Amino acid sequence: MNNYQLGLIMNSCISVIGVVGVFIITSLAGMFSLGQAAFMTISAYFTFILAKTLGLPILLTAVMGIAASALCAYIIAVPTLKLRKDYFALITMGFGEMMSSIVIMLEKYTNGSIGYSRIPKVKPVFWIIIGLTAFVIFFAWSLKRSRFGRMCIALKTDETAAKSFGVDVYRLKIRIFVIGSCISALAGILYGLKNRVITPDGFSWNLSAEMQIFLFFGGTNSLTGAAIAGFMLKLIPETLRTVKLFGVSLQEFRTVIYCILILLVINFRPNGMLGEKEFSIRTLAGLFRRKEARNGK
Amino acid sequence: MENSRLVLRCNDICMDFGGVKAVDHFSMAVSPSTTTGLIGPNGAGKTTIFNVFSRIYRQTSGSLELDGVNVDNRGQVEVARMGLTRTFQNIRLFSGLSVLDNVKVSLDHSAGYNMLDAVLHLPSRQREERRIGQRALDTLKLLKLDQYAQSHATSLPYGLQRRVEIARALVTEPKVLLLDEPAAGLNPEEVFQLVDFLKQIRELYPQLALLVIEHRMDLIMSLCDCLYVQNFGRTIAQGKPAQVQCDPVVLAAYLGEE
Repeated sequence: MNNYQLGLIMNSCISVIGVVGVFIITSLAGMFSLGQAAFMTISAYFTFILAKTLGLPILLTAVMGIAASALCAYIIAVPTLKLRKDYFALITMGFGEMMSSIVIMLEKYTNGSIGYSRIPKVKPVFWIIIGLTAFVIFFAWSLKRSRFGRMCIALKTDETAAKSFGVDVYRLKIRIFVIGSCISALAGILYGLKNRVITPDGFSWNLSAEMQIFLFFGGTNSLTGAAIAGFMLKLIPETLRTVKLFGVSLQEFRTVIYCILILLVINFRPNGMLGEKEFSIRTLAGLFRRKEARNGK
Repeated sequence: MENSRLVLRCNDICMDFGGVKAVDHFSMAVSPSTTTGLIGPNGAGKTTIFNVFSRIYRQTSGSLELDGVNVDNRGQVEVARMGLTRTFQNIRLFSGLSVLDNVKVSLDHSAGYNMLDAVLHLPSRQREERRIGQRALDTLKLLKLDQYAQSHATSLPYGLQRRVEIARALVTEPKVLLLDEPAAGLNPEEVFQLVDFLKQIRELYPQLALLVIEHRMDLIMSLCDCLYVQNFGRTIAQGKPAQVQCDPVVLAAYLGEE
């Protein structure tokens, strides 16, 4: 594989990590966050500026960057999660916009909208990204299948009922939001490591919305669907770069293509491509059996 | 009856909604091992009383004690963990989960492992998961629902969903169980099964204090030791079912003046 193809895979993996972060927040606990890119911004800028100015190893500053994102997520969550769901979406969206503006305002440190590019080279970045993607998926899968996952799905369906069975809804939501934001933060750092430059535009509202779209496309309650959608929907527009329509690269129509896809999904599969299905040996066996039964007819 | 034996007790509870008195000076004392019925016409404030008991609402005035502890300032979660569980008038099962997982949710707050254990699959996670899984399954077996354990909770017939909801509330072995119109929406056959089911529960959980809101008099009469009749937020009669049944005030409220 050449560098370009490796780059595509890395981009898609970073997208998967971002989508899994959103999955934890939106699919598990039902909090519709439209500002996850903000946590990517915080961690990425924090990590790389600290690494440069203080000369600390990137591993250490990355941990600090994620911690900074977690702290911000906590501060946002404590008052906001007392509000109704729709206000939560509005406030996270506002927070996302706020972060982009702050980055531009702090031009002295962040280099404003030109982008911060003094990012050290890390090797082997490809395997780091692949490894962390696998880890994050495993993390989310474990969380979903634990008591926390069950309580989250319960509170997502019916908060009052969940409370009546001893689920501390407010506290659990805060924890889930912080964890999901940490994963987004990780995606932000990896994005910086891969591209060697971070700009406020790269972490704009578009990215937050894009991650929600991917998640929705993959399946409202399916980690498998979220991961596959995060990977494929990032990859496909890139491969369309060379395809031209009316003399313009199809990639320029990315947003239009996403919109069409979403409309199709809403119409024909309102729960996303995979709905609530998860990949497992049992599902595979089930598929196989069904095929056999059909052939038997 | 001495005070210490009371598992639930409320004194002069009032609940106003902007001038409308939904509950007006309601008092009640419930001891363990009893079944108490709460009846009355629509809008009499029965569900509001349950919502105050389970702390979905905070009462405007009056005090509430659960197992000898004042719970006026406790929230829904705390009261649930202290041993007061309930079902809802319109079934509120968790639709994304299987029957077994629905029951497990009740136990989840008490499972002794944290997020780190969960994510790293440490032994404490496996042990606790096995424990609550077993306990949930035992309860389902006891209530003869184990054959549906893996089904999607909301895909079951209505009567079964009702029973799963009761199982979910019973798995923690609560002190008080509030049943809000358990027979609502059931056909006569299912009501019949429900009465049997509740009688079984009475035997299986001898210590449990059961509170039932119901419209079906046959169900109330065959189950309850004691009845409270509500009308427009006030208690108009209380006592043994047979006694209440002949009370002229109750008849007037239920059937209209003759």
